[in-house]
Amino acid sequence: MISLLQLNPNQAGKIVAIKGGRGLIIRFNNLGIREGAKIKKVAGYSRGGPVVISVNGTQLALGKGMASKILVEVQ
Amino acid sequence: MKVVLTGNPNVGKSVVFNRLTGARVIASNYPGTTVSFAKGKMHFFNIKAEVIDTPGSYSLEPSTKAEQVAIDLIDEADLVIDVIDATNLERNLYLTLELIRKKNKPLIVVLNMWDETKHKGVDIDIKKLEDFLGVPVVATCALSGEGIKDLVFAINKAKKSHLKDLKEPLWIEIGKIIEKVQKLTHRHHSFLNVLEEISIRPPFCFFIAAGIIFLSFSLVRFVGESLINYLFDPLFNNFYTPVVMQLSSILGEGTFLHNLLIGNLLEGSIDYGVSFGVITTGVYVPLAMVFPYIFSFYLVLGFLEDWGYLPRLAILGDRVFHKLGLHGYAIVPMILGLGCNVPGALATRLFEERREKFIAATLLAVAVPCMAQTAMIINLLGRYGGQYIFIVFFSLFLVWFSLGKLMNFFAKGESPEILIEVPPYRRPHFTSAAKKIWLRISSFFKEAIPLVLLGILVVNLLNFFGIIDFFANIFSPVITKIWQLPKEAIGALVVGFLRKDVAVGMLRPLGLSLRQLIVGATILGVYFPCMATFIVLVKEIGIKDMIKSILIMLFTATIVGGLLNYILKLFGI
Repeated sequence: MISLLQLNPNQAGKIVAIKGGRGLIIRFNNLGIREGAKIKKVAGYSRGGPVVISVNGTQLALGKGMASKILVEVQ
Repeated sequence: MKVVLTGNPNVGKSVVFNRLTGARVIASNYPGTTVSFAKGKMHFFNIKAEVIDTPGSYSLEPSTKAEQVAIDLIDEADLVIDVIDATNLERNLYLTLELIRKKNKPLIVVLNMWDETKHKGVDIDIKKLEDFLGVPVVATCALSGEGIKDLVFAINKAKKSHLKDLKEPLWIEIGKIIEKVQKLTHRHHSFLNVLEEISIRPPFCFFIAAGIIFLSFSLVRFVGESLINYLFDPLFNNFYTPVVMQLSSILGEGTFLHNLLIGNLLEGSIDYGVSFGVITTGVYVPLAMVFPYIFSFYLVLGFLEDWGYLPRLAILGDRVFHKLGLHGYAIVPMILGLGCNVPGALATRLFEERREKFIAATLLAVAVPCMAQTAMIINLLGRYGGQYIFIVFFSLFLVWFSLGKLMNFFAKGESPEILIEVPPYRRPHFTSAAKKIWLRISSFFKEAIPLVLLGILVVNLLNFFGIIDFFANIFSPVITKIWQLPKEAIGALVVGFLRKDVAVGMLRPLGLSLRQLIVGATILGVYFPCMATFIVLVKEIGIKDMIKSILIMLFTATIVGGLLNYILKLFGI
C-alpha cells in the first residue's frame, strides 16, 4: 500500500483508503475518487507539484497534500 | 416557464444555452468558464420558456461562490435540464441522482458530446437509461447543434423521476445503473490522446508550454501589427484624415470647439497620437490602435481555450502559484485579465477562500496589463525598440511575483491546493469560435469606446479649467521627486481611472525621455485598476479588502516607479 505520490507515471492501482476529513472525502467522491476506484497515474511533478491521475476515463489534477492522503494498492 | 440548465463543470451547458436561446454567452473547453448565471428567452414552435445558464457543479453541496449561484437557481426552476458529459456518465449521474433525491423537479437529462462517445468506445443504451431514471433522456452534440431539436420536443414530456426514495448510497445505485446501460470497449490511443500525454508529462511538457506561450505572444503581436499597418492605418490616412482636415479648416484652429474635437495640429496636420481631440485621437486610439490587438488576442486565446490547453498550463504552473499563496488555476483569471481585467476579476469567483481571492484580485489589478494598455505600450515604446517593451513587462512580472510572495508571507492562512478536472483536447469548432470572438469584440466596442471618448473629453475639460494643474501641484513630490516625471503626468494618472489605454497615450504629447516613458507606462499599470475593474472587484472581494488592496497598489506604484527610474539610470537609459 503506497500513496499516490509514490506511484510511477503509467502505473495503475486501486484506491484502498483515503485519509482525509469528511469535506475532502465528499469532494473526492464527487469526482469519482473513492475507495475501490481504479486509477492510473498520468504524471507527477517533483518538488511539491501536483499529481495527474485518470479515474473512469477522466483526468484529474490534485495537489501534493491531497495526493498523499490517497492510498493505493498497485495492480 | 423557467428552465434551468445544470450539470458538472465543462459538460457544455453554455453551448446548449446558446443553441436554445440564440443568446450568446462565452463557452470554452475548461471547467469554470461560466462563473455567473445568464438568462435568455427560448421560443420554438409553440414552446416558450425563460432559460437560465448556470456555473457547473459536481454536487448540490457548493464549495465555491460560483457553485452556490447554480444551486440557488435550481430552486426557482419549473424544469431542470441536467446536461451530462456522455463520455463520463458514471460521475455525472451523481449530480443527476442528487437532483432527483433532493430537488425532485421535472427533469430532462441531456447526454451531450454524444459524438465523442464513439471515439472513446462508450456505448450507452439511451432507452434503458430513460426507463431507469423515469425522465426523458436526449443525446446531443451541442457544438454542431445535433439533437437540440429533440431536446426542445422533450420539454413537454419532462416529468419528475420515480427514483426519489433511493435507499443505498448514491454511488452504489449509480454502479447498478451503469452496469445495465453502459458498455465500454477499449480503444487505441488517438493522435489527440498522444498529444495530451506528452504535453502533461515532465520534462517535455515544460518545453511545449514555453513554445506555446512564446508562439501565442508572437502571433498576437504579428496579427495586431499587421492589421494596423496594412488595414487600419491606410484606411484612416486615405479616408478619415481628409474629412477631419476639412472640418478643422471650417472650425478654425485655436477655437474651443477645434481644441475639443480635433485638438492640436502639428505643422498644420493631424498626429493621431498627439492631437488629442475627441474625433481624432478619441476615434483613432480605440479603432486603429487597440482594436487590432484585442482582435488578435482573443483569436489566440479562443483557440487555446477551445483546444483545452488552459487547465494544463494551470497544472504546470501550480508550483509557481503556490509560492504566491494561490494554486495553479489562478492562471485563468490572470490570462483572462491580459485581455481585459473585468472578466479576470469575475473569474476570482472560482476560488473558495477569502485570502486566495484577495491575493488573486490584487495581483490581477496591480500587475496584469489589459490588452488595451498593452497595445498602447507597444505603440509608445516600440518605436525605440522591442527591448524597452520587454522592460515594462518584465518589471510588471517581477512586481507580480514579489508582491505575491509578500502577501503570501504576511496574510494569515494556508495556500489551497489544486483539484481540477483536465478536459480532453478538442478540435475548436469554427462557428462557435467565431461567435465567441464576435461576442468579446462587441463588448469591447460597447463598453470601451464610450469611455475612451469620455476620457479624452475629460482630458480637454480638465486642461481647459486648469484642474489638472491643481492636482499636479498636490502630487508633485511623488511625481517629480520619486518618479522624476514632469508634474503634468498627473493628467495620465487621473484619466487612468477611466481608461488605461488613453492614459498611456497621454504620455506621448508630454515629450518625455525614454526613461520617463518606461517609468510612466509601468506605473500606469500598477497604481490603480480602471474604474470598470474597480467596481467588479469591490463586488467580488468586498469594500474592506478592496481598500487594503488599493493601499498596496499605491504603495507599490510609488516604490516601483522610484526603483525602476533609479535602475534605468544606472544602465544609462
